Amino acid sequence: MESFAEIGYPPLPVKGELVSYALLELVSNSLRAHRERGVGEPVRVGIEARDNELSVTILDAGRGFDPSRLPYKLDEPVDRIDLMGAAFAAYRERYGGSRFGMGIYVAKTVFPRFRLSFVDRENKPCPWFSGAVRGTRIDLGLPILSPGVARRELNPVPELEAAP
Amino acid sequence: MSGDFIARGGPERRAASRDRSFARVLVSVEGVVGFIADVSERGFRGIFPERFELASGRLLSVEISFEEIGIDIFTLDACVRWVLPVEGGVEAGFELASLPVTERSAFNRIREYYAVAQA
Repeated sequence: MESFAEIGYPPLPVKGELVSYALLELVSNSLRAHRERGVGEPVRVGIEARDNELSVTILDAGRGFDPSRLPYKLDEPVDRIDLMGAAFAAYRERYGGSRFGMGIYVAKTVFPRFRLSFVDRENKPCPWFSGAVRGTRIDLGLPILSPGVARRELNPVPELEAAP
Repeated sequence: MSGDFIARGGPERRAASRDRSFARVLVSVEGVVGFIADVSERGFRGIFPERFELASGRLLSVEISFEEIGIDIFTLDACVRWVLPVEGGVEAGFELASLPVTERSAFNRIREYYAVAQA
């Protein structure tokens, strides 16, 4: 994995170190899903600073996950999530005390724009219960404090098509 | 500034600095979760993605996890030595109040991991 520590972020309302940690948490989740399901494909991460926003996209082929097993609802406002609540305790117990269940929570805390979608083999959005989920795509956005336009395309993450 | 990165889920290469991961630290009293940024024999620097009241000199029970190297959640007592508000959150220095034998191995493994990763 290339190091997020080597990315020079534009001026952000959040310390770059926190941004890197939040991204590493999500990428770690994706890598774990690939590892657990024997997926040899790469996890793709796109980072772009444009239109006064730092945009990040993470796309994996880890077959997704059942959102109902998270200790909170995906669309729940982060300030309503109780980290010390019974749902989190149950989550940790389910995983034998090895996981906090923090990845998405932290990303929602750091990035005001957060969208998680499950995608099919054509990278089109599909519901978890469709049975067609190939992976997970997470789109994040964080305002840039001063205008700047730059772009670098190495291995672009495909555009997310609109749901049918 | 932009870039696309590829992370591969292949064999672990954790000794390499480019594969650096991190440990989570949970300040359980406050219900706030953050990350361990640096580790020493005496303590660690935690960074949290939200502001909360954290007073220097306060003794806290801190939960730590580092699943990627096989360390389950364990608890340590640590004293807050300094607090620094940062953009979007807060940093704090924690000094270990004690390091029981049962937690020593896990903490030392994290410390050794960071020492290699940051070399």
